[in-house]
Amino acid sequence: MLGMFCGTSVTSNEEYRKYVKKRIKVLSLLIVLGVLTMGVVFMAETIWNMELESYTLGLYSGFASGLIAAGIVLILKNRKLLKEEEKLRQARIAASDERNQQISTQASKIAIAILLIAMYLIMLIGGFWYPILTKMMAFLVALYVFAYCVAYKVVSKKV
Amino acid sequence: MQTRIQELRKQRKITQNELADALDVTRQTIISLESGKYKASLVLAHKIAQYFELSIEDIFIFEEEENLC
Repeated sequence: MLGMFCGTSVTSNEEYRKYVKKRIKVLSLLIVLGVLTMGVVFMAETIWNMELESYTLGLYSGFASGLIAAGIVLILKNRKLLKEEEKLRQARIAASDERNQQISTQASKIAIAILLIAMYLIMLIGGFWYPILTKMMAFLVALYVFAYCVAYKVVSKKV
Repeated sequence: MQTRIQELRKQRKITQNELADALDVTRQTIISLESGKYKASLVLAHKIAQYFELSIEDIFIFEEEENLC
């Protein structure tokens, strides 16, 4: 299975090697994000004197450790890929395979449709109990539409 | 759209893996192309035609509605 946003059009192992190196740099952001999350929790408790519930604390700590662990595992996996030529070739073929990319695009379209429906339902039903949900979901749907329009304009200029 | 990929591959005694390696695609793509479930891009169709030393029309059989006339 091809990972989300992992498609590429590289045609040689050397090009793919550079792509994987760039991906490792991007993945290190996951670790930074995890550390940042931990930092925010720490600051909330110590500097801002907020009394977080143990559930919230556990949730944030879980996010943070999950992000750090995922970052480390994925970086190690990608580093290992750089050392083995045959595995690198196989990974390149899987990432540049046009059918895989088409599957990934279609799966993303379906996932986005489901996400939008879910957000609309949360906006509609959840708003009865928590009015803030209506505002949040409406904002997110509007943000999606705006981002889509901007991205469409940008991409249409390139293609 | 139908293709003659499987027929040509078997004629030349090439495995799906060998063809996939030569075209830089996965074996699953070859399987899907052979079964007609997936339509190749122009670039891939060109590569396949080059590989078999034939023209695209010799390999890919287009349905009536896919033709101009």
